[in-house]
Amino acid sequence: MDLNKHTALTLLKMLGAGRINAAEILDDVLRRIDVVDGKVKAFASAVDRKILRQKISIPRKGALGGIPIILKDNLCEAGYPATCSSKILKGFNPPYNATVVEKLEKAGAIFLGKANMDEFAFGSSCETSCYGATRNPWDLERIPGGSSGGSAAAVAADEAIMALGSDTGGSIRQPAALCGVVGLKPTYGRVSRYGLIAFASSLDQIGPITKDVADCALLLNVIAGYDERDSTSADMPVFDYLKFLDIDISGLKAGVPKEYFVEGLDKEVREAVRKSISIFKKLGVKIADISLPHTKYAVSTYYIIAPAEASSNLARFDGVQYGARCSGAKNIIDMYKKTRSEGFGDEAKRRVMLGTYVLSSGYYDAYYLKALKVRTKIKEDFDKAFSDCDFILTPTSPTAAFKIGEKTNDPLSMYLSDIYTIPANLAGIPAISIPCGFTQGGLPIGLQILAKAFKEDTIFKAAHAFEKNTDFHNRKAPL
Amino acid sequence: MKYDVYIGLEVHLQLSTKTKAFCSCSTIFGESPNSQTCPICLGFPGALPVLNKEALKSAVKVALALNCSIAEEMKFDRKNYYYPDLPKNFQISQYDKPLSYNGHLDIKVGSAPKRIRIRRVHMEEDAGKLFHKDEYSLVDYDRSGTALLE
Repeated sequence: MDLNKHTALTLLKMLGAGRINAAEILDDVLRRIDVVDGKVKAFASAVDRKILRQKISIPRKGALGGIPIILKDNLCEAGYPATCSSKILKGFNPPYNATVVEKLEKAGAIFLGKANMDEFAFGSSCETSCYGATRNPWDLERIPGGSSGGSAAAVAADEAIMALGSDTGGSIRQPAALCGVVGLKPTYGRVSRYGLIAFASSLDQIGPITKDVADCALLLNVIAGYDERDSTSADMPVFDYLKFLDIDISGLKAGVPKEYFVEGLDKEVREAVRKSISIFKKLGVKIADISLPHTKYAVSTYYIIAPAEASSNLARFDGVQYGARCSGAKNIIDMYKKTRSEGFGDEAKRRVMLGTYVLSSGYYDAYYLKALKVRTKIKEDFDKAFSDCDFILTPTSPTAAFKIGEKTNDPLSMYLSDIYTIPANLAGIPAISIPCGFTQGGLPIGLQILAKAFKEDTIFKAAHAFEKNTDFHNRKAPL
Repeated sequence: MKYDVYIGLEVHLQLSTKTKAFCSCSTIFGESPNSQTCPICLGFPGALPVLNKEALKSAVKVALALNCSIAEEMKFDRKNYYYPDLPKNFQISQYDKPLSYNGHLDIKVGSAPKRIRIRRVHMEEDAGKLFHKDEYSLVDYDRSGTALLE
């Protein structure tokens, strides 16, 4: 029946009508994994199938009852591996659940396993994982994007109905764009991060990766909301986002920032985004040329703040309590050094060193403090833009998926893959990537829609209106 | 040459709260090792600290008793250093925006009044405890995360 090809909402309707049962969905998903995951390699670890079949044999009620979901490998589920695709966390099975995991469990979802990712979410290509690279389902020679590359590839390849990822500088949106699926980074504070292994605490956010906009709204419905275990989660009302999907968007105003259409933007991506903007125009949206003047500083600002926070967050991986520990250490300092030298990959080491440097005494003011000031300027750019516009339209990524290995020796060009996604994290605002076209070579292109903090409803309105009038989200990867 | 001697003291005290500064583990002293721990005070990845309201209240009382000004806005900072009794390899403490500042304590030296100035009173968390054996060391994290004032 190929039930794995459908969206969660379609499957829930079929389940509700009694036309199928949840075990049939799971069977089709597992069959698909058997056929394609040898090529795609989306999984970091898979839940034992006996356990899955046992779980599905008991009726699962709730907003996602019986829907198979894959979780990024940095989310904690009690008793299952959460390794951030790093050697240093091999063997670590957290004894507790992330809040989002608890919420999904309560909603009846079934967890298939953990999705491969760049080590500790450091990367834009899913190549820095200790499990090896995940492949893009649209072209197995290419990267799926990152760091939530496994999550996006699994959804694009119909190996999972939905996925959770995390986004610190574009790690949900960029792989969603490159794999032709929908990915949302919610507002900072919208979703509890209890149980998300931290990369950069002032930027990280958990969010959905799905096959279409409606599923994205459905998944956000389940995971959003205040959590007393996360002091940075916002005590704000949570809406039923599905209710916003079919609201007319004519009369809304969209800003198009000139700083996002400059050198480095691929011609085909530019063309697809331009066409998308004209679709919004046809839908009655007023298009305004705007300026976000501090955009050019976003990547440098991010690569001071994010590694600084990461160097502190990763300090706990020392071999003392959990995860990998080196053998044959002479003393405690030796144990720290060997454990961390063996356990971390090159990119993790690079970021720990960068971060430690910019936080060290004498450099703190010159780098970290200055970066925080520029961050405020970037946020002010958005405040100003949103005083006039309802949402902003940009490309998600400057290029479509690149070849495996193409950028691994050039960290700077890798970092530039996130040039359009980083500003939303620095400003704490929500942003989605939706499919908006294909290159001549058949690779997906993503459109990014950004809105004011806590205005995910506006994003869903705009994204769904676009989706209803286009067909890009219905195309399947030729696997 | 003649010198005037000024001596500054850094004093730590434990707040007598029922639970730790950032989690709900008990602070009872002398229980069996590592029996009063959770993912938060063990610094497990993904766990997050939430400030103990009673600890904050007690801290404010001490600061007021020491005639300190209470900050309208304070923040916590991370003091990063590597030591096995510090599970996150950073201590949650306060650096540039402490709870309170500019206080004093009046005492008598003999019969003469003496005013001891208090620069600041801030909150932080305690570390665990190490036991050294011949070839190895053991760690008890029961104290880890206990609310302290500095």
